Amino acid sequence: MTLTLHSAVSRFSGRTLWRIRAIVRRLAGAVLTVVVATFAVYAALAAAPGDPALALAGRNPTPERIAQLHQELGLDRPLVVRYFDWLSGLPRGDLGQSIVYRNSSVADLLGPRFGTTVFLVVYAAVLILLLGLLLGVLGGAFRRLNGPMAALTSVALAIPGFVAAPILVSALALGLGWFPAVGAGSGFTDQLWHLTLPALALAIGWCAWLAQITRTSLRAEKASEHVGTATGRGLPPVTVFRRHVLRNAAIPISTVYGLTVAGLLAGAAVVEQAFGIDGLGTLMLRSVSAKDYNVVLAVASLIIIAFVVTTQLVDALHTVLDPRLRTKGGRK
Amino acid sequence: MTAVTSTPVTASPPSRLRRWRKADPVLILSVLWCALAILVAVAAPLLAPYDPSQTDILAAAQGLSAQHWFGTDEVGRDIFTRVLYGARLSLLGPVLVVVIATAAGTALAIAAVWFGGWFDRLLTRVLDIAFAFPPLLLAVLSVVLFGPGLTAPVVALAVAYTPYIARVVRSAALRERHLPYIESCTLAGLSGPRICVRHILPNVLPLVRAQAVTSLGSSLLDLGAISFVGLGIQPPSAEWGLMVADGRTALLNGSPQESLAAGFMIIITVVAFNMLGERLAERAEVRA
Amino acid sequence: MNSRPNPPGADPLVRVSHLRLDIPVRGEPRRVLHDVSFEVGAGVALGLVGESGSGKSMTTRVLMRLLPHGAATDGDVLFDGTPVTGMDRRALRRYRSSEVAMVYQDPRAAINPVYTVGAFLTEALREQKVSRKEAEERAVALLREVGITDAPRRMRQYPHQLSGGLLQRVMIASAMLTKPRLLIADEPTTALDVTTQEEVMAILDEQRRERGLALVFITHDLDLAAAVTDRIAVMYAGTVLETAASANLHETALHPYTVGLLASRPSTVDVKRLWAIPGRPVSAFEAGPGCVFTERCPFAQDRCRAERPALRTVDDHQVACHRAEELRGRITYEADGHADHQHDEQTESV
Repeated sequence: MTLTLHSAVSRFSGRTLWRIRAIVRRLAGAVLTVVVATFAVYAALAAAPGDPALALAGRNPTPERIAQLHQELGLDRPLVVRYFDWLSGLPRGDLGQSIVYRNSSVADLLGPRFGTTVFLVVYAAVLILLLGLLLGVLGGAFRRLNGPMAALTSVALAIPGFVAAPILVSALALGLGWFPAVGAGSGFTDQLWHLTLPALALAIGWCAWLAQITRTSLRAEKASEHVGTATGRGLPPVTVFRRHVLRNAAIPISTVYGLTVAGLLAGAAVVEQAFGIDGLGTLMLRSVSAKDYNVVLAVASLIIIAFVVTTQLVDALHTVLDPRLRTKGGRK
Repeated sequence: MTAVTSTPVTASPPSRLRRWRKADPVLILSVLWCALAILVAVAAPLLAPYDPSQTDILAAAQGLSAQHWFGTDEVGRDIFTRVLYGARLSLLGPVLVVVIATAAGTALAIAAVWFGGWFDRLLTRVLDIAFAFPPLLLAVLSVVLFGPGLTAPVVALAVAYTPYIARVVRSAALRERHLPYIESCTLAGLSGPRICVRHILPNVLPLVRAQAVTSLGSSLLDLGAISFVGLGIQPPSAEWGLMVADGRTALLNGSPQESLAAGFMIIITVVAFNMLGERLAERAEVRA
Repeated sequence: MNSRPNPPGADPLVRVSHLRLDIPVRGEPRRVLHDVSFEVGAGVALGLVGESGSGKSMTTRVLMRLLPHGAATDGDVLFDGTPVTGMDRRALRRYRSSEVAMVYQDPRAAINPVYTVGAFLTEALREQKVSRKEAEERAVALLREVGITDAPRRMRQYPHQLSGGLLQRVMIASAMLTKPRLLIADEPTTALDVTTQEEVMAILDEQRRERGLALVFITHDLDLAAAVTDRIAVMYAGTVLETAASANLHETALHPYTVGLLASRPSTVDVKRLWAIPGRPVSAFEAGPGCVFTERCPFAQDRCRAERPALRTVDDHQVACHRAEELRGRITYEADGHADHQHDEQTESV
């Protein structure tokens, strides 16, 4: 009795320990990715030609003035030190100063635009999930719809946001007048109305990708042997589809959806530009031409962090969906 | 036994014949479109009715007509001409990106598989980090370093695509590496690079080809987006992504032809590349 | 058990006659089964024996009506007098859920990896409105019957945590759970470790006999089939070539293919006897108009190449060979590769 209890306890703690270790290792990997990637961004921006001090110093600056500005901007210290300085400011929300708008901090510039962009991205993510799954499930569940859905998604996959934008604007905004052609709106319903076309434009290609993956993985799953077992046991087709096809296909579907959402923030920049929306993406693009690199750095880091966090969430979701990933020695 | 065989077992000749007879229309259309696009890009000066940069204020923002098939833009340039000329830069960019990324990705992947160990682990780790950079972000950094134009986005996308190609090739090469014949090559005294080039590479090549063609499509999209936001090719050059952006003012004034003409060229060309890539991938799979 | 074939007149549990099956391969129908006929009486075990590709697995798929889309069948498949191919949805579901059960070759592929063993076992019962508690109790009891000692713990585990042998026992338990009348086992031990094969086979055999289930047992191993079945049907290229009582097939085999199959078994006693039928097995769709075995048959004559022999009764066998009576007891294969050819000439000169 005591013996079995003991072995049960040790087995339990062994598994928990393994799990904790796996989580820690994964988080460490994520943090490392963020640090290396943001440092790469930092280094690239620091290596950019042109001296920001020269831009600030006005006409005919004296060397003393330049040196003073270098010191003010911290440019006289080594790159790695400056990077870790910047990194240590992150938890406090200190993203540095804008060089172009001298009296506003980067955080001040990001703040109001953050909401608009997040609204757009979340809106698009919801559309992708709903439409992509709907089209994918239709094509995957009904044999007759497989061909048409494959054709539809192949075309939609080739429609980038910046091409979808003029098509949607000329058809639904200028043609039918259902939606505004530019701007982001204010207040929830107004924003919803303004951002519908941008969200559609942003969603369309990703939607097609998700639909394609959903359709093909449903079909692959349907052909698998365990689905034959379930059918052979006389389960009703709807139950077989829900419990054995859809449930198993959820694993690849969630992977692709996660990658989609992870890349959405970067894609949003293009769509913001196309619809004249003042968001994080347009701010970044403007700051590139204005050489306001602290702003570029902040938005770029945000994009990277969003990517890493999303992929980590998907990994976590996977261990929920796939029991084989939950235990040691399971399939990798 | 051979003498008494009354019904010869013929399997391959008729199936091959059948494949040709009911050739895939989508594939044929895709190949034709790709060929046409390349032809247009090469022979644009011969085919185009106007000079792509010739402005004509009197004929600005016209609709579709016999003189101007796709109408004219805000400064009176012929849109059809610019669409034809646009094929040059619009296709050159993706080709450059894919050539660089495919070469780099394949070489890295095969080297990683051959050497294994720390080199393979390091590469996998670096690829993981590289995946965190969306193409547009790399383009932004590249433009910061090299300035806008064709070079910066091409470099950025080559860097962005290398990990994807490397990952696909790596797993295929890994399978190949562990096949018994590679070991017999080693035992026969062939050198490592020779085995990689003469034996592993040819076997992963169909997959590389499929991946490259598909990447042509996505790099056309990404390069278009980069031009569209103003980080790539600069006006007054003709390039499809740039033309979509150029047409925005006219679009809001009710004449969307420039944006739409360039946009549809992008869509159709990408569909053609993707279809071609898909079929090549299917064949590569059948082989493997 | 009853080792005689069913008395004439009484309906057997399963009757398959002149079954033909076409399956689309890249849009073109491809013949998989030519002419499959056999019967299985209630409580009787039939072995379907043949090389891979002979159509034995496909035959079981027809019995379960688990066929790919676009498959076309011809001929009769009767279960208890009802045509399986003609059942409507409701009847088919009832048939699958309570009359027939199948044990698959590879339990790891046949059991959904994302659910626990308990969920897998109780799923079918729960569908029949059995309460969760009762379903679980029955599942645990059955797991114990198939020799799984720590059944409650196994119920909570996932398939990947069980060995292949254990998983196949789970599969057997699940087949017994709904109390079917017919059990189909498709090479149930080939995917398992050699060490557990015998155990699993013994459990399957024991469970079937205890419950008096009819069994259709697919294997390529004639000796194994002879050990656990009452009758054996030998299949080749989508056709049943011979059926006979398992007990005396070894001595009385009539068809040249059956004899060849018996001769090519590896023998632990005499290493020199290892022999293979010359040529490669043909698929059903490659067969000519004559007997499907002509190309490899040392006794083939013009008639064999021109006319396909029907399955007919010779002695107490069913055999599809034109020369069955003539060759009876005279077919011998020898280890020497040339022997069959000489033999051919000899018999042709008779």
